[in-house]
Amino acid sequence: MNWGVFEGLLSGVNKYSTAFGRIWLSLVFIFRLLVYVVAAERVWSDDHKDFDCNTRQPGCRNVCFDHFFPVSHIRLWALQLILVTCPSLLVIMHVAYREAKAQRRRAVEGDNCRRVYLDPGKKRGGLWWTYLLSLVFKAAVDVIFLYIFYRFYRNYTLPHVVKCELMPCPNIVDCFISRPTEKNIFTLFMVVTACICIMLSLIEATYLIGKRCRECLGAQREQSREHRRDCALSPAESPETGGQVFQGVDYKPPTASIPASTPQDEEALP
Amino acid sequence: MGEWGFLSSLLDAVQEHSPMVGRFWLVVMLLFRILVLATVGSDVFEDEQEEFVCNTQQPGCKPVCYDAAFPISHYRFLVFHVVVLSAPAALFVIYAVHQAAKPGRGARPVQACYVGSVVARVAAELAFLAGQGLLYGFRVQPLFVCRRRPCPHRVDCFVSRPTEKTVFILFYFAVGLVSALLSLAELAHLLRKGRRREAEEPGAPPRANLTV
Repeated sequence: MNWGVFEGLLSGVNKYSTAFGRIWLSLVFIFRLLVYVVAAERVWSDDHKDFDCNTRQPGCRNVCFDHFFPVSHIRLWALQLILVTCPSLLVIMHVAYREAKAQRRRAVEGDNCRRVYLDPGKKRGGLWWTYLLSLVFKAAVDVIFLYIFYRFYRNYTLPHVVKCELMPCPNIVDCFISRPTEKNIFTLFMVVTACICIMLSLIEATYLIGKRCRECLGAQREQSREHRRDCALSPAESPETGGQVFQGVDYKPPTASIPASTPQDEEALP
Repeated sequence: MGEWGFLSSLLDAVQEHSPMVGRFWLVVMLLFRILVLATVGSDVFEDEQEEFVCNTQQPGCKPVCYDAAFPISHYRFLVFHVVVLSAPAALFVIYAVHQAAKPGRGARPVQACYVGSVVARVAAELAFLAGQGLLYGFRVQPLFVCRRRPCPHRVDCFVSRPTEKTVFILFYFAVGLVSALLSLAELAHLLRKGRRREAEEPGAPPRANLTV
């Protein structure tokens, strides 16, 4: 098991994402995961071994290293990458759940049964909410980790030398961090990519909500227009929208004859 | 890290037979346990013996004190944890494949075997959670005072990266709790479904599909 299998798990997410989601995924894979695996891990590989303190007192180096690096950058980034990509897996699992449900219904009622989901992958109903929550969660994880980095490492940078006077160090001891400039460059790079990812997630969430509001308003307008036109019709003839205003992301108000399937089929169950 | 690939593909084979809760457990297992252990865990504990420093020049004192401080390394304990948790799933897959090769046997033995594997998993989760708490506690102390021979007197020994290790074992314990709850939820779901099926059709054979 390595990051390759992780990438395999996430490659299925592309199918169910919007354009912003695909950009976000590419950004995470190329600028965060790849950079982490290929470069950042090597830079931090000798961080403890080459942390030198100007003393021969045994234990002083360990204690000072632990004080100035409570949790190493590389560990925080690994956790951040894992947590930030988890919500996408939730979306995949939700789609798989819908497909399994449709399959079970087909198995029980036969191939000509009423279809629960026209397309299990379309973001409608419960899946829309799952996707939106996944975006919010991804942004929240990145924000939290940026804050953690800020708390542990002021200004996201490391100095060249730190002064340490913890026990058992006999006095104020100079300790030298290995490759501080390289580490600062990588840290700033990862911080900037995290900020871009946060912005992309928020833009995507705004886009989804805006699109849904636009469709709801459009459906409401269409419904009121239909109601005014059909107010002389008998009660048995129901409006085409059937009173549904919560339509799917790709719903287009009908302009011609009544479609064969009822609107209840289009509205997906969670 | 490649050696985990075998285990992850084995666990993948279980998900065909699992309900939704079981699949959540599999995701937690693969992502938060195996992946974290293979990437983060191995680096954190890689240099634990090399960087374990004792305040003495006495030869032999450091290895003896390291052995007293860590009879079994956290990392090895967690690896053992993952292997024991994967064992019931692996045995179930072997049994299911064996049963599939013999047609006309019915779904009841496979279903019973799956429930048995979930029970074993729940027991293993709870046992390891208790074991982790009792053996290691929830904090890795930076200082270990050692009095074993051949150390000449009470010697201070310093553990490498104690804060990072503490964060890691707390994270793993939290994941263990979530995983145990998911396993318990899956067991409750399977038992309730079995009882409901028995109540609806007492004489009819159970359906082969275990999924929700």
